[in-house]
Amino acid sequence: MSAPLLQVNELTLCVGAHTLLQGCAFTLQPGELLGVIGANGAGKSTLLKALAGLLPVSSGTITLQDQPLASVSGQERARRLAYLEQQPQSCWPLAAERIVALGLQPQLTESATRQRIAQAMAATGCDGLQARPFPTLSTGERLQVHLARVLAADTPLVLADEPTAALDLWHQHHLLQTLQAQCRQGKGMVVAMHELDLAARYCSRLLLLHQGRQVACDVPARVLTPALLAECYRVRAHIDETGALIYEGQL
Amino acid sequence: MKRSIALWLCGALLLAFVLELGSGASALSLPGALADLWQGRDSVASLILVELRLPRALLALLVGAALGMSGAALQGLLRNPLASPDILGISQVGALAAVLVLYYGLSSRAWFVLPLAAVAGSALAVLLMFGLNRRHGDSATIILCGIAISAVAGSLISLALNFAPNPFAMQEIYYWLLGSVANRSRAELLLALPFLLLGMALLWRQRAFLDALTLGEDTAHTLGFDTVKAPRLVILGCACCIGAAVAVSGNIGFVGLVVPHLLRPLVQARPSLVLQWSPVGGALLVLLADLTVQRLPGAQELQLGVLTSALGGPFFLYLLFRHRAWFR
Repeated sequence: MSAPLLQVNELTLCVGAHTLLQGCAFTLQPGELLGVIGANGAGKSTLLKALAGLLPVSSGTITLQDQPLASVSGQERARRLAYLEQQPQSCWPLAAERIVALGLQPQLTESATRQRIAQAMAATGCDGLQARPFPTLSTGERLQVHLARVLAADTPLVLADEPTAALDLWHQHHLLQTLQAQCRQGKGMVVAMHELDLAARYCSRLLLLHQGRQVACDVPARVLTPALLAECYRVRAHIDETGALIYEGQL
Repeated sequence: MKRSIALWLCGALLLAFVLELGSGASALSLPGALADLWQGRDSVASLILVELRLPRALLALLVGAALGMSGAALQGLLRNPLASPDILGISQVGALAAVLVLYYGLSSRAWFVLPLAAVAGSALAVLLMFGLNRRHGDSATIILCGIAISAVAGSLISLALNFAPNPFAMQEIYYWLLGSVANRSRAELLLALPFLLLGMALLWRQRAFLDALTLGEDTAHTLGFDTVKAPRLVILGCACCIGAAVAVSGNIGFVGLVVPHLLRPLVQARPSLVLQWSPVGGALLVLLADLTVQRLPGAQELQLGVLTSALGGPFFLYLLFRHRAWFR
C-alpha cells in the first residue's frame, strides 16, 4: 500500500479556554472519500481548517505525505492540498475562468493553463460559464466554479467544507459523483457534510464528531447506527436496507 | 485589457508628458531646446527644459503612478472599493510629518529627513489603522478608522502651519492639503525617487497575492501565500509610495481612489492587472490635471488636487451609474 496522504494523531485544538477539537486520530489513504459529519458546532469546519493549516494545533500531529504539516512551506502545501471554503467568495467581479485559474500553479504554460481550466470546468459541469462575472452566478454555480478551481490545482488531497449545503438534489449528487470519480483516480478527499444519506451513499468512511471529540471513524454502516445518531444528533433514526435515512423523532 | 485600449492609454500618457514638457510660465520652443541640449549648448531654453520642465513633468508622472498604484494595492488588500491613500488618512499623516520636519527645522539636517519622515508618517497611519483593528477588523471598520485619522491629521496640518515659526507657512496650507507639482526642481525629484521606486517595486511583487486575496484570506493562505507577511509588504510599499509622493507634492487627492475604479472594468476586475495599469492611469490623470492647472486663467495657479477631483469626480460618477454592477 502506498504512503498515506494524511495522518492525524491525537489532534487537539484550543482557542483560549475553549477546546474546539479533542483527540482526533485517523489516516487517509489515496482513493478514499472521508466524510466528516456531526451536529452544528461539532467541529467539522475547525477540523478542516486545521488540516488545511489555517489554525494552529495545540497538541498532536498532522502529517501530510510523511511530512509534518507545520513544516511544509506555503507553496509546497498548495501543491499537496486544495481547500474549498464553506461559502466560497470573490470580492471582485472576476470572470469564472479567472477564479479557476487562481488554483493553478503559476509556472504552467499558457496552453496548458487553458487546457486545465477547460478540463476542470467540464468536470464540475460549469463549462459555458467561463466569461461570466462571479456576482452574476447562482449559489450552485459559484460552488461549481470554486470546485473547478480546487480540481484544477490537481492536488493529491482535497478538503471541502460542506460543499453540498446550498445545492439542490441533482447538484448534490452530481458534485459527490464528481468527487468520487476524482478519488478513483487516486486522490484523497475530506468532505464535511450534513446530509447523512448522501454521506452513507458516497463516502468510503465517515468521521463522526460530537462536541469536538471524534466519536467514530469507520465505514458508514458502522458509524450511522441508531445509538450514535441518538448520542450525537439527538434523534431517533436509522439507515434502512436501501440506504435511506429513516427519521423517527427527536430525543 | 484589450490591446487597443492599452495602446491608447500609453499613447495618451506619452502625449500628455510631451505637452507637459512644452507648457510653463515662459514661452519655450521644445524642438529648439532639445536641439540645444543635443548639441551640448547651454542655452536658456535647454536650462529651463532640464532644470524646471523635466523635473516637474517627471514628478507629476511618478507621483501619479505611485498614488494610482497605492490606491489599487489598498483596494486589493482591504477588498473594498472605498480604500485609497487620502480617504484612509495615509496621505494626511504623511503630509503632517512632512510639515513638522519642514517648518520646525529638522529637514535641513540631511536630504533624506523629509521623505523619510513622510514615509514614516504614512506608515504610522497604516499601522495605527490596522493595529486598532487587529481583532475583528473588517474592512468597513478599518476604513472608518482611516477617515477619523484623516480628519485629525488634516486639522493638525493646519494647526502646525499656524504655529510655525516661518511667517509664510500659513500660506502653504493649501499646498499641503490639496497638493501641487508647481515649481519643483531636480532636488525634489531626486528626494522622492528612491522611495517611490522602492514602494512601487514592493507593490509590484505582491500582485499575485492580491489576486489570490480576492477569494478571501483563508483561501489565499491555502493557495500558498503567506497571509501574515504579504499584507505587511503591501502596507510598507504603500507607505513608501504615498509618503514620498506627499513629501514632494503635498496631498493630491482622489487619484488613488478613482484610478483603480476607472481601470477595473477594462481588466475584468483582476486585482493584479488593476495594479499593473493604475500607475499608467494615475500618471495620466495627474499630468492632465497639471496641464489644465497651467492653462487656467487667474492670478495664482490652482492647486493640483482641485483639478484631479474636478476631472476624476464627474467621470467617476458617470461610471458609477453606468456600471453599477461593477461596484456592487
